[in-house]
Amino acid sequence: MSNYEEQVQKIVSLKRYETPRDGYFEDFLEEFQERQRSELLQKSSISLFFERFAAWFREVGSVKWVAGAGLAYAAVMAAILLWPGGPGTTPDPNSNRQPASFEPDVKSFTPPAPVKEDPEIDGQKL
Amino acid sequence: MSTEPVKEPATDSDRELVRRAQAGNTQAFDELVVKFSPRLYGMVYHMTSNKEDTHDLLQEIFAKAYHSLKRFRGKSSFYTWIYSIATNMTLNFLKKRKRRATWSLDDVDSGIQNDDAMVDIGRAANPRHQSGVNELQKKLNEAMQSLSEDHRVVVTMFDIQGIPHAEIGRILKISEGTIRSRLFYAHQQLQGHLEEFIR
Repeated sequence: MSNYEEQVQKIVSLKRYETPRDGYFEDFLEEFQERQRSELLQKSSISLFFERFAAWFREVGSVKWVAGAGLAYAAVMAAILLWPGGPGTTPDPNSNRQPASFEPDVKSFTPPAPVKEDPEIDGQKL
Repeated sequence: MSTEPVKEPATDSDRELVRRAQAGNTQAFDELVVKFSPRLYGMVYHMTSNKEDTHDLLQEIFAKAYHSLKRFRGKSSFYTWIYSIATNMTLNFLKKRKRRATWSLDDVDSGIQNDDAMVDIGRAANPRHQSGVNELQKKLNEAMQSLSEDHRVVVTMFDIQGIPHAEIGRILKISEGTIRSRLFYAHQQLQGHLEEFIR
């Protein structure tokens, strides 16, 4: 190292004597604790739950993928079975009823028999 | 703040404190704050040259470390880990501050002119400028602020805080060769600003 470089280093190193006032770090810790407390109070219980769940999920390592896949499979199966009209549901007895329609059924329509001009009762003309 | 160069701290006690803090013991984290705040204060202050910015930034650094503690796996020492967080956040802060039009060198603090140790060392370093401690401090801050952030951070860590090259390399994730070349270039630049104080 050259002489000038040593001189520069020596002068710059004087900056290490710049210190904060006495008691600064005690106050700093108190402020930090206060901030942590107020932050904790602001957090809702739901976000705390998710934070802890995420922390737990990170910690479980490779098992998490198997557990995650299992959970996803269980969720999908539960959705299929519980979905209205799905295979797990009991058939509704009224479900076979035809829907109401205002259109006449043309194929099954039979016109009324024509009225006879000479009415007969028991094969005798009146 | 320690007036001696920072040495690699014993990490066994840190590991235990970290383990307890990860288990939810806030008192253990408080102990880590007490242990590391003076060193980190020095790093942040020498980078920003502003006490208020240093205070706010240091609070944010410890808050970030607290929230990220669960993700700390112990692959590096806690010292290296928290220093990395502090340097990244400080460099990001400086980038944002640079964009702010209101900040200028006038905001640089001048807090050491009354420090006895500084006065004594200043005299010892350069007897011809015995009354020039104020000027020296002003010039020093200006010289530091004239460096790019990448150069200032290695000067801060190596020249001021006495952190070894290898440790700086781990914190900044750069090679020792890069650190040495940045230091060399930074010293050349600083020489221009501090010429009158060099014998």
